Amino acid sequence: MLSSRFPFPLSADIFQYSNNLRPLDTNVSIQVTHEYTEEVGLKRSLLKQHPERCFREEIHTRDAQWEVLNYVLHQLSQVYPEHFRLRQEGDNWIFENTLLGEEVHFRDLDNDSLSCAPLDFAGRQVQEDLILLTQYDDKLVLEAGQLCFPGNWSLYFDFGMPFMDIHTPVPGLIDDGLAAKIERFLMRVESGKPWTRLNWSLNAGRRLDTSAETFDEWGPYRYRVTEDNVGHLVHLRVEEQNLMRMPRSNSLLFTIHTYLMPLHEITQNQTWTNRLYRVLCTLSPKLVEYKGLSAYRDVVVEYLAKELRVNT
Amino acid sequence: MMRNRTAAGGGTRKDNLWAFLQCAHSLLFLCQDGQQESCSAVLQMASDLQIAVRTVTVEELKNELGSAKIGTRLYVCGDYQFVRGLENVLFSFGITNEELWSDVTGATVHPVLCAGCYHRNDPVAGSYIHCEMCGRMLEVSNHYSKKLDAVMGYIVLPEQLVFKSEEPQPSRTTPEGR
Repeated sequence: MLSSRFPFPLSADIFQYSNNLRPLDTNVSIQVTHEYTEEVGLKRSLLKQHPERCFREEIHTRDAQWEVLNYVLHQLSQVYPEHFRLRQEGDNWIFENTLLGEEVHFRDLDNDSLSCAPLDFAGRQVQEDLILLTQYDDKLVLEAGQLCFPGNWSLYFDFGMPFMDIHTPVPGLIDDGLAAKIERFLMRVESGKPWTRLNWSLNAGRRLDTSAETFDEWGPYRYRVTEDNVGHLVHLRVEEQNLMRMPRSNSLLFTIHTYLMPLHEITQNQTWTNRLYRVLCTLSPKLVEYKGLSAYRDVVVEYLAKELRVNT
Repeated sequence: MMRNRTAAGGGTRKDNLWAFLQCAHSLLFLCQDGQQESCSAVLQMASDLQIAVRTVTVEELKNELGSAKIGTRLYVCGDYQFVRGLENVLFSFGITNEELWSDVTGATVHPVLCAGCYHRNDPVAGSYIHCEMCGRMLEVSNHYSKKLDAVMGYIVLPEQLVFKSEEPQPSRTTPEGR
């Protein structure tokens, strides 16, 4: 039985960017939820239709990708043994995915034994997007990634960029020196000690694939939010991001699991409603704009206020 | 305005240039015609550090690369097109960021990548363009990819614009939404 899961991201009544990474105590970095079949199916369909948009790699990262594949498949088989099995027979590895009714045979480090790049293959087994950062010249660089559910960014564009350059568009992150501090922190992450953080935004519409490439498809819904539809149309979007060192290649694996919950479900929880209401009321104008909330924040705030009045 | 690539890592331009030159045994110096004035501070610093400076042409530089010794650093200065063209040659010779300091003089105008169709639009001055390929309206951002040598052109929705006159002119400097 697969679980339902929604990690609520707001831990205070005021939101500002910070280094909110904390140790991942459980050591479970891959979450398999009851949306698994639907979301993995969507990922594979996007990868087929938009390969350039959803997967990028520097070919020299292949060994690091194999390390990620190894890590992901072991995670799946150890944490969810009822759904995934991994066994070795001689030089062959056999991975069984009972949720999708698949069995794959491959040989470690043998690129020809897989139908796609190792990181791509790993990403096709999980709901998470997988980003691989290599570390050299005292910086982190995005050198491989499978990204199907971006929160309004482009892997095609950010591919090959250092960590600092990737974060140019985030208000204040570079100028305040925070991005540099976070990068230094990440470069010291040790193998076997994964970290986690939650990122959030609002989505007008239930859509995981909010890539910069398709903004003209999903962006217009921001302007269609009304008092009547806000509870069902607007979703709290949460990215559960985990980060871990791959010891052999010294690269960093960054996993992103995206969750959506409509506001009418959020408001079933009084604490969540209150917190989201307060955060939206005090969010800085720059962040309102960056998170794409300008067009409908007021409607959401009014809706949450009404729900709070009803329930007190 | 002068921008340099190495200073992006932090510290002041002077500090970073000092650190760059301190590692040099000798310096190959290449400056586009008419830009010499921009380089006086570099030459002065090299002199203070007693580094041998050799002024070279583009052709001489290419020839020098084959026989350059460890500890040789390169300095290039010129307008955007000049420096980018030269960097492409130098990187293809295996020169690394640590060995090269480049200063760009004047305005830096980059090609604009269309977020929608990935077409690389010619450099333009201004905040908004229509993609030459797909016709989408794009906001020209300052988000730059060295790999693509382009800035991101984010898709702009008609809803984000306020029409001031018959000509569609965005009234905001930054459309909301990112």
